[in-house]
Amino acid sequence: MALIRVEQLAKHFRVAARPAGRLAAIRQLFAPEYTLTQAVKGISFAIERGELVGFVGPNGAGKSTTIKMLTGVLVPSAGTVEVAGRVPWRERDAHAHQIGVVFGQKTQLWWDVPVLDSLRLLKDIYRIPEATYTANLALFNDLLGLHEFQHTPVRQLSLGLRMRADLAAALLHSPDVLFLDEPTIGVDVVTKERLRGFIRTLRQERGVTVLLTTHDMSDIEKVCERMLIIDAGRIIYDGAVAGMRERFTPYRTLVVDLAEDVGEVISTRAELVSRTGQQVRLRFDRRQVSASELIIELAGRYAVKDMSVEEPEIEAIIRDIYERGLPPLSIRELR
Amino acid sequence: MLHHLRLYGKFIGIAIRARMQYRSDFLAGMLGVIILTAVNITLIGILLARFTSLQGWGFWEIVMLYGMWLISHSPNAMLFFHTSTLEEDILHGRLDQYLTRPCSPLLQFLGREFNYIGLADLVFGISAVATAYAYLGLAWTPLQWGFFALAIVFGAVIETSFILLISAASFWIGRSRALLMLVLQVNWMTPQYPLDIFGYGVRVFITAFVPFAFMNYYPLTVLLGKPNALGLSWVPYLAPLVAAVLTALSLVAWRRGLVAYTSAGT
Repeated sequence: MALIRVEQLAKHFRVAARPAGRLAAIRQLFAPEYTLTQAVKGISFAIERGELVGFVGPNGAGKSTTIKMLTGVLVPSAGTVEVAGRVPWRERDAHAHQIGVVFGQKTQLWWDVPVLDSLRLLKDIYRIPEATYTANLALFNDLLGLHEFQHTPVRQLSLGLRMRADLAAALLHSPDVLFLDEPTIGVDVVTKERLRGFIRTLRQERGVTVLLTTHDMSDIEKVCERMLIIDAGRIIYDGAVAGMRERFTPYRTLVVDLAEDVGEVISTRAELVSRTGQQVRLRFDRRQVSASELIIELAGRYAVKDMSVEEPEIEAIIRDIYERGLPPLSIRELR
Repeated sequence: MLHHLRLYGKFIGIAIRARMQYRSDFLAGMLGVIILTAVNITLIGILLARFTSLQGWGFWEIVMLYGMWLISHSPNAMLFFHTSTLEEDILHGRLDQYLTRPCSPLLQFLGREFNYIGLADLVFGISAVATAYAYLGLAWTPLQWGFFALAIVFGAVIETSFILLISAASFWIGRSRALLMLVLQVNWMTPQYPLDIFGYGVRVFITAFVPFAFMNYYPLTVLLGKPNALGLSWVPYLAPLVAAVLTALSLVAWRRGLVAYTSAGT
């Protein structure tokens, strides 16, 4: 039985039409026109306990809307959503005990008072037993360095520290599911790494299921095992992160640093992408030639100083998908 | 239920502590209390200069009218003053954090702020009523005091729930500011003027649709033995019914509003 179950979930918003022109604005006052915006168009997926899932999509794709329906903030227009057997917006209290939420753009903490004050109040709201509270605080001290800033008012915290505080707040009641809505946005690299490590440890030691919305592809690559891509309200990819490269693009790039200037660099098995001075970039199809074959061919023909192989970035793959939709090959991969 | 009350107390506690973090603002607030009191006194003085009698209401009766409104208004001023900012919270998606916690979103919203300046209203209101009581040479029985106290309570409920109801309109219509301002204008007149100064149509309208007159005017017509603006002796006793209806309506509006809540973009 999947922990998170979503079936034909849809959400539309009634938005006032914004016609242009002065008369149109006045007309809008007396006879308003509305358009129906379909933010989420009937998506389905299931997440098992303990999965680390990334949720990716261009701006306006429906990511946040979906997360908000999963967390009980929005009521769906159609379809079903269940988290640990509970319907979020209908059984809000029971559901809230099971989930933790971190919104990257706004904090869940009380702004003007020290972090610890917020945590103590959350302890009361969630009715957390003293033992659990103390144990969790100790864990957060360990993994997030909470004691360094627990007495500082939230408004005085840097973004990185505030994110750590928000994570502590979200996990204080030991939920089974953690929703992270763009948690690394604007955060420095050190803190990013720390947050990612924290999430992985959570799953390791506590089996927490994590759904992570992000624009940062390294988040996906370093944390998530599975990825959902949503675009224009529909899920266009649902599968493992590993193997994404192989599945979507068979091309790799060989970067060659020549020892001396030569005329044309030709390879029968690869295509020349660019040449800057003595550095040559060649693109080859991994299905047709292996890297080692190509290296042997080039090293035999030219004096080579250095070589390296570049994998296509997941980011570039995603960008391709956003811009051009799925290549026909991968559509077969979907259920 | 007890858990809810305890939690509400904790919300107010953290709201107070939040205010105290800003020493200058806190001190300025104390000054504000004094200034507000001075304003209240001045207003009474203006009433003194303007009227010796207002449609059968003598000066000290007007003072009592004013004072009683202040007492009835003070819970709203201290605890629920931010209700009219619901519109902003809705538009900026600030209700999200209430909806992901195992606690009534309404309770969290209402417990968000504590406006201690409202204490000035309470203190001044009590003083005004006490002074007027003495000058009018009144001698209320315990029953009448009980009626007074209940009227205060129902009046406070009426004011708070009505403002919540109008604010909740934001869930559907975006900004409800204009409507709210209109309603609050009536509420600013209520403390100073007995309903009798208006034409009959306006009296009915205010009583039926903007029932702030139940906070001070109608109870006092009973306690001071005056005929009320509608000439119907049972109207003042409608206060509990009005309070109950408005409470129910505002709760329904809130609940339906949450279903219609669309949060903010991101």
